[in-house]
Amino acid sequence: MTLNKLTEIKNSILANKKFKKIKNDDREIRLILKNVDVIDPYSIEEYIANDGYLAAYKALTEMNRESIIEEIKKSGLRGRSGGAFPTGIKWSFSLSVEADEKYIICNADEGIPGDFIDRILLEKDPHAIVEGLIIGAIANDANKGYFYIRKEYLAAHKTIEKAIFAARKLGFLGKNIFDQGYDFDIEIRIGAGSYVCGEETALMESIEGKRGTSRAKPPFPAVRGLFGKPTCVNNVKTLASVTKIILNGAESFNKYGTENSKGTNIFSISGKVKKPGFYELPLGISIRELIFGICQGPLAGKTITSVLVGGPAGGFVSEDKWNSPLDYDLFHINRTMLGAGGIVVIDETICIVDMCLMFLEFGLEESCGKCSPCRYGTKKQIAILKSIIEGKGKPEDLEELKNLSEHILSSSLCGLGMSTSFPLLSALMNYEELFIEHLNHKCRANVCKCGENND
Amino acid sequence: MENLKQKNFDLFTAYLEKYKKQKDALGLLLHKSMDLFSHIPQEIQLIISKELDVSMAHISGVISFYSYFSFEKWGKNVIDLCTGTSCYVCDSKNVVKKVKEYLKIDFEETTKDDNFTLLSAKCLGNCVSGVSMRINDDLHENVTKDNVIEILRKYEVKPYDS
Amino acid sequence: MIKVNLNGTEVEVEKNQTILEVANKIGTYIPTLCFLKGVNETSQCRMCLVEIEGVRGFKPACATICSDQMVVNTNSESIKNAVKFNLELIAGEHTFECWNCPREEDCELLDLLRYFDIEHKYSKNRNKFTAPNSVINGCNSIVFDSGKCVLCHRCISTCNKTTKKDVISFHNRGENTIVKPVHNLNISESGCIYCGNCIQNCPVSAITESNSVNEVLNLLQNTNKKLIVQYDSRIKYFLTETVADYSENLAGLFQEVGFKHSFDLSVGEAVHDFLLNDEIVKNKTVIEASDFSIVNYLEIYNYDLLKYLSKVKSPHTLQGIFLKQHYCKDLGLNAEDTIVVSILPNVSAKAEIEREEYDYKSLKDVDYVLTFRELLRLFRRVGADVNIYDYAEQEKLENINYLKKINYFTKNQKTTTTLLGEEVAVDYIVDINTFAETFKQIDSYGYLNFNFSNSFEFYSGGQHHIKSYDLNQENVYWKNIAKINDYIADEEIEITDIEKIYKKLLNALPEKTMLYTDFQKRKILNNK
Repeated sequence: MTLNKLTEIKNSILANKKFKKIKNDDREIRLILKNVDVIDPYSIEEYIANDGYLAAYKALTEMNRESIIEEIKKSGLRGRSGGAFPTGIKWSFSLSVEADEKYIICNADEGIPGDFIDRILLEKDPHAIVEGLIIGAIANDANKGYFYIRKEYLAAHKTIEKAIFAARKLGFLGKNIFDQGYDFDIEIRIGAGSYVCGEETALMESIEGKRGTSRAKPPFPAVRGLFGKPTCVNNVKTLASVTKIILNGAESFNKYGTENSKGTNIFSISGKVKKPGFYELPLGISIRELIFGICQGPLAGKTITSVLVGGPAGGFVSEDKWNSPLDYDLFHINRTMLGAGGIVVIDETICIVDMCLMFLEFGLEESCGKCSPCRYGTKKQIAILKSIIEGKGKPEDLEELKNLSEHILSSSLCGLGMSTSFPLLSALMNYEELFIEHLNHKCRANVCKCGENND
Repeated sequence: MENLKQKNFDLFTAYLEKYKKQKDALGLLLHKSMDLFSHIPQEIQLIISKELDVSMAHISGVISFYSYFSFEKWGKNVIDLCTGTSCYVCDSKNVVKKVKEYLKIDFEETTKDDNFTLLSAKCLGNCVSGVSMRINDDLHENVTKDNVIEILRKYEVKPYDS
Repeated sequence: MIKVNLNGTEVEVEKNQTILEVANKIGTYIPTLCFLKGVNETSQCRMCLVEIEGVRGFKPACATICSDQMVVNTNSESIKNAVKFNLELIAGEHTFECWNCPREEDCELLDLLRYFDIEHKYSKNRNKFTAPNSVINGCNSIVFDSGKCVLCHRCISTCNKTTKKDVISFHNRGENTIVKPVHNLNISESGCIYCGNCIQNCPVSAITESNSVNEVLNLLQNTNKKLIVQYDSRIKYFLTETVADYSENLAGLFQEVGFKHSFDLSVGEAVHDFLLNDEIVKNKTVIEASDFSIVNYLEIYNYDLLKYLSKVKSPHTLQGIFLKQHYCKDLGLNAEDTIVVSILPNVSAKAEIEREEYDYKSLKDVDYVLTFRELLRLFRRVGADVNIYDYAEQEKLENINYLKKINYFTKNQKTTTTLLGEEVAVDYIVDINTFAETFKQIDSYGYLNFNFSNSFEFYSGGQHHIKSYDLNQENVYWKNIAKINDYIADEEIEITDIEKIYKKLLNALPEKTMLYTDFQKRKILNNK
């Protein structure tokens, strides 16, 4: 598959079809979402017509491992699954590890409730992710890749399967890809309904055919990962971003964003706003601008009380902090993780204390059960919070909840255990008055039955 | 009916042929069994155990860990009702209550006539269209406590509240 | 060599050591629960958390490799609080019946609870004694109690490392996680060989041997049955290790408990050797199973190798037959009213004696097997003086000549023997050859019937099961395999093949089977 063939396909498509530019909002900057709702996801030809697989070709012919990693470092891209680890640095770990076999995995187990961006990309621009995986494989010296797609994304199974098949047929995957002497192929694995399998070590356990329980780190996946070999796990958005960075250069990406959080991110906003949906915007846009500007604020006659950023691993951001920029420094400001960019907006009809209970119950059900702080600690938190919601709480319960949360945070084995308490801690920090109201038998949103006589 | 079941069994063993001694193929085989039989019968566990050289206890441990693998046969129609954050904010709690009352079952249970199995999905990824509910391969959006029974009626043999 | 600062003390250590290894070397205490060197190193109990300067959060000492100039703190207030909190959570989900528990003396969890002075504050809303998630899965040999389990994973790792058969696994998720054999099956139907290694490695008593102490005690105290005890001589090592100032008065202790007679296993071993030699001459190839779990293993997983295994019963059962069928009259006992109790370190023996062939003329060869630590519990329950409390008592014990009560058998027609360091008069002399002949005459008397129907299909003939697959069948999962007799006898084996066969068997057998349910072995494994 030479450059000429690629150009041939591109020209033959462009001769008959014009591709429009789409935006969900004028303020959007569509770098990663360029092909979404524009091309036919089942057509590799249309993808090629939009500069598809040029980046992978470039990575193989004009660049080497070091220069690819350098370009990604320069772009400032950070892992888009929530961990936000600089991708360039993550990939550079593979340079110092020797092994007979290395792997790269695309983490398509987007399990955080409220996030649906990975789904959009998987369903509507699957080739961008495949190409990103190819580039990642070259940079990490991996010859085998995996897609780990969650079970719930039925359409994504089909689009990715077809994409891999089509790419293989044209010689972009398999032996001697692009006729450049490099071997790389991808296998699909499907999840089976476990949130914790979105965590990279649990994901690797799942691919190995075991229970999806987290592993302790160290050893890190870059040293000992899948089947004991050096492995790199990357998010869907990260890989899609990689494709565009290698295609258009690091500057095309790092000219957007803030000091420590470069580039654009795709935010998915749902809940009580006028215009929910997904928007690709530069990192650093303020919460206020996003929720009230682009999403046009609350529903008619209602007031927004809180913005939940980062899902069950994030926190409730109160009005006084809505001017904060949405980037990876949010944690240092608000102790709220940006996460993958999924945002749920709440108004006065929703009770935040009740939502805290929902998150804890979610954390308990999805806990893998390996370490006692997560599997038992969450249970204790739920018992106390339930008694508060039923109007039987005591003032010292709030202190106890804080202590429990801090303990679970510091002693848990993996990120899930650590982050289960984040929503509760942020609610206790920003909305303590709501908890005290519940102690005094009042639920502002009229959701909890916390009256004196339990009415 | 007998032939159909035997046919599924033959399909399974044909699929299994590709994965002799490949321990990490367990997930793929369990998914296949769910597709063909709506559960993973003990005979299939035995066969997988022999071909992949993994112990039975390991297999049952894996099945019991994941929400979409089941030891007991699921009903004809599988309801995957989303209980994620966005759907919760759109009042999924009341939809759940309505469905449980109507079908008289709890999550992970099957109706007595084997027609419906109710599951709780932790976010179907369809967050901007009210409460989402998947039944088999059909995705239903904007489900409310008022229209959910109507949606279920399309899949039932006879009503559950008669 | 690199330098590491541990709690203010600087030490020079070799590279690639974990913080825990370094701490153990210099005697600094770091609590552990799930760690078992070389067997289970999953860092999941979160007890060994330490603080490292410059690193955020706590790190597990068992998995973190020391780096040069690392500064480690293992006992700050925040670490102590974290460990205490973790223990409170575990205690809140644990079944406590320590006074009645086989591990009361050496429970790793209890030691931690004592050391950190746990208040048990999460026990408010539950049944004080039984944990909310207590599920018992047991048989006549091994019992699993999930209420006591701390989910450390040591048993699963052990089963994997020793037998390589992964008979047990974690099931379910989160707080519902439980250690179980195959879903919906009892442990006895799941391919367990009762080697007992999991019992040895469990830090608490979530897995124990099946309890026979109550039944034996009941027989001793509340019935007119006469009990005879026969003990494996290794009990002496166990008691010396476990009991401080052990009085070495085994015979007297048995007497005090109420056993009519006590014997060691020398007769059984003599008969066993006799029959074994006979079998070697006849069959030309015999390999002996040192533990009954090996027989179980071959029956379930490698029945094609059973033909190389000796069919002679184990020493204690042979001696049991001897005592009941031949010696009762001489002892002045009625065989029907006699109960034989074996004291052995093997857990598999408990399942062994329940098999059909260990039964002659409707009398069981051996009625009960007690492990060493069950015997100790028995002594304590009765209030027998296991320890020396004061020297006057010790003198009194020495003067009462319990030793005369012991009966001893010898092949060599000697009239005295040395027992516990003293010359003792022998009460009875038995010609072992005559008695051993009687074992040979009656066909199944001294021999095992290997149980082929016990086999797991897919290891021993799964092919024909697949062909007869019937989706409508609900209940019958483990079908019987036919062709039992075709395998035994008829084959002529050369002596030169023995080495090959021995190697083949060694490769098939589990790495080791439990020999001691005692301190010693566990201490070595725990690396204390």
